[in-house]
Amino acid sequence: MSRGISFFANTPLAVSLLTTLAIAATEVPLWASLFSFLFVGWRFLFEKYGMYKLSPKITPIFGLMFFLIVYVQHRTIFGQEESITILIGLTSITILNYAVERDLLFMVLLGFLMLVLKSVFSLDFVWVVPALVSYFGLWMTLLSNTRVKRSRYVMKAMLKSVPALIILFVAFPRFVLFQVNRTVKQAPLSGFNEELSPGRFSEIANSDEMVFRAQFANTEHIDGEQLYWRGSVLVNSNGLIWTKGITQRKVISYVQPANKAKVMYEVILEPNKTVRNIFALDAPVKVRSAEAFSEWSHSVFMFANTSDQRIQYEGEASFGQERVLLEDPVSDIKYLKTTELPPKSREWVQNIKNKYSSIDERLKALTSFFERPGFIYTLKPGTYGNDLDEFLFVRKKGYCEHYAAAFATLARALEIPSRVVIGYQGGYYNALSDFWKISQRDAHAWVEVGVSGAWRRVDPTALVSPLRITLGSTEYFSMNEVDQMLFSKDKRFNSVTAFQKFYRGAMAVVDSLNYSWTIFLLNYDMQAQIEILKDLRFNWVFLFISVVIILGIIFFITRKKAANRNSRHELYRLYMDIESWGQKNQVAFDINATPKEVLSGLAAKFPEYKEFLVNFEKQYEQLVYQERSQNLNVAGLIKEWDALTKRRKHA
Amino acid sequence: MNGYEAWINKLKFQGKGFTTELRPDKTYIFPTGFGFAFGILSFILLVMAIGYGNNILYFFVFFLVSMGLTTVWLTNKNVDSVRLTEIQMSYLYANEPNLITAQIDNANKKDSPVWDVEFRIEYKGATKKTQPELTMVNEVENTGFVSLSWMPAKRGYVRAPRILIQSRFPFKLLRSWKYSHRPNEYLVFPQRKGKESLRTLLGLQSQKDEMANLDNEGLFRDYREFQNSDSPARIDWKRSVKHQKHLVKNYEKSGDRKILIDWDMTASLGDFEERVSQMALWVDLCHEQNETFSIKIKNFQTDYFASPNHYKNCMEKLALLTETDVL
Repeated sequence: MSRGISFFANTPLAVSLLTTLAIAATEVPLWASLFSFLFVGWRFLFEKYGMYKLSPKITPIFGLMFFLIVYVQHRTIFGQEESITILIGLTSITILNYAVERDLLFMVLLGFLMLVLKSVFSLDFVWVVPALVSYFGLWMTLLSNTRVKRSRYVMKAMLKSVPALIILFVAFPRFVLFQVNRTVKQAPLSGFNEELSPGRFSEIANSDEMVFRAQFANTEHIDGEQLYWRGSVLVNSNGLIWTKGITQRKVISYVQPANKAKVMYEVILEPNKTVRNIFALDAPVKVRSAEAFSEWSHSVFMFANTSDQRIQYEGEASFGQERVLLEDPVSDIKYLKTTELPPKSREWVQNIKNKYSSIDERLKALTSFFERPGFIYTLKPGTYGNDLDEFLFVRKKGYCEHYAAAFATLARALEIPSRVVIGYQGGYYNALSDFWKISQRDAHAWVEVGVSGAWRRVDPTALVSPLRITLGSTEYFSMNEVDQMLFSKDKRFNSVTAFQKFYRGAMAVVDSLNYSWTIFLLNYDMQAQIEILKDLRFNWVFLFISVVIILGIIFFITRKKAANRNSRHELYRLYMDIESWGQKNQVAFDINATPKEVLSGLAAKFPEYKEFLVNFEKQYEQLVYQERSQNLNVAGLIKEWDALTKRRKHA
Repeated sequence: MNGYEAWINKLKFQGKGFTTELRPDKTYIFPTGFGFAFGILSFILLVMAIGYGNNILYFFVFFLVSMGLTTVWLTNKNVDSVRLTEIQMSYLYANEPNLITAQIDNANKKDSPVWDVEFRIEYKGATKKTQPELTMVNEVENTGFVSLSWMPAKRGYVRAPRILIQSRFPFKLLRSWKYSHRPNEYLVFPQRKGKESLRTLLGLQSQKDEMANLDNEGLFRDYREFQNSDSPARIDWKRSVKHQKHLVKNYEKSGDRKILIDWDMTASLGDFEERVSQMALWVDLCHEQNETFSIKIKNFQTDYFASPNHYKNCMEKLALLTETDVL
């Protein structure tokens, strides 16, 4: 049985198109990916095992179905996700129907479109590599000549196109003509939530998904334990549960400790649908961004909108643990409010209150309480509900959220102003590109207490498990649970295996490339183009002169080449002139008329030209048929012809 | 050297055909349907890149565009490198498909072959349907050959045909083409067509009592190799395949039989061109069967001969015959 043209036998086509489908499938609903897989699978079974082929009359129904489902689901077909879903459907249906060259060309166009559209969703270098492989394969597919070494040819063609690519990419002005509304895709599971309700964190502790990258400008060496990325502040206490409460947008004045040097940093925030918070390094001094943002109470910064694109911002911070917020005084009564404590906690608080009268002493007693052996930092503490006693005096197992919430609640009960800060802590340092990668597993909660009129950071997790803070989440969570429990108080413990070291080194290279790539993509805008021109000491006169000179050289070279290539003997050109002159003067020639017939026809109609035409014919025949160009008086003939035609014109 | 090339060389050096050099003309380039679709796609993506202000979109769009620009150069170069340096052909007959063979030279000085080039003889006023099919040559390293069919519209001297050279290589985005032509002229023999066979001719001749043997039309004698002057229709393909060379049948001559092909024998045919074609057919049949023959047109008559040269002279006379010659 003849199965016609094969899709899977055309390796570059099959590999590149299936890779493209796989890349695009990450952005579409599961049902679309499954349908696509079904169609491609059907084609495979048809080609390999002669399975029944769907009639080309039926398959458009599937296409229509794709459109309808997308439309019913989204009420549009023009969004990013919607369009790429339809493209996947169209491509897989075309694969199923593939029969003629036109289908192949259509599939290649769809492949190009899907690859480019993917970049609307992600700037990651990681997917750019397979996309380039697919891109290469799609071009190879278009080369149908089997004698050509296709990969070599396409590689050469790509290399030849690099100069044009660079010129276009660098020189094309990044003007803003209009702004496309960006529809935001499904929100990823985030470690950051403006509420503290222990339970979610253990899920995201396994997530390596990046939240942002940070790079420091003026600091020689930074330890991960110094990095507290402030996202939001929770003020309302209810045992283990803390909520944000009412916040105000305001301009906050800071009084920084005089001796603390400022730290300058730059952050590239990954797209996020739900979170508008700016993660500012604690203690924040200033934040700058091209995107609209505002400052809120408790040293919190927020963007005006969420974005599905990466956002860049810069900041200044001080590593001092204490600072005074003039418009956010610690004396505010809201920082002491708490719900009634359960019996054991109440008893413990009463005991400390009786024992110590000063805030400093009570705080010391509180930190000592959490430093005691017995508390275990673990991601699997079990569920507590909101039972503070169960957590503090019975099971004593928890992670940052439990400890921060319990610490702050007890502090308030001890009449120490306190609040919970949530954000991220530490990060993974990439030495290759000198940046910190902060991922979901770095989500953290800590406490700020008001002492001597200033807010001071206290991290209960660091009291319970100093190793978690010094090692950072990546390495700490890669340890087994027994090691985590045994060595949590030992700051110097490190159990990284050789394989883990190698794996992290390799990932650091990928991250480094990705970071450089992202920085370049985000920063290259109209402003950067102007900067480049300034660096080149650009001026319009120079540009104009350069363009004129380049165009002149190109014109001169191409003209000379064309002249050499297309050089015809002047006598032939004169013949063409004579023939067209005859046509203009209503002498009808047969389409197959030979030069001899043309010249005789002209001589018959214009006897006054006969002498010239006979002479011309003689020399023309000598040139064309005897192939002798000696003894020809071409210049004389041209002159004579010009004179004759002019004379006729005047007459 | 394969059989085909050997055959071409044989034609070339026999000196019976015409040999001429052609010069290339300007090369043109224009997007194909796929190229237009590609251009529209690139434009839409560029608009999207501007709208999103997304540099990676810009990167991919410009990669597509720069590949398109490179393709302009590659496609143009591919056709521009083609030179039709020589055309070989046997005798040409009006309104009959004549096989002509052109030598293709790759003018590219660097070591890069010419790929997927298509050739066709172009006829003025022909539509897509009436134009002959394109002949594809997949690869030309340095030199190659292409065989084309040419059907001149009239006998006598005609201008050399215009040959279309085109390619969509490498990515089918663009079609580049040029025409190869030169103001040469070729003598085209009349079409060999008529209602009357050789037997009729012999019958007619017997009425004129100018021939002794009436019924001997010639018996098969042996095979001989194909010559330029032979009609390709005479090739015995079965035999040729067996012997790996083009063979035609040789017939016994009928002793001293002499055949006169007289213009007046065509009097029953009214049209002048039809009469010329009938004469040409008889000349051709006589030549095929190795007969000794003469043509007589009013006061003009050739001697009796049976040779390729005689055939050529007779056909030339018929090719250039005018109505005044038969008055």
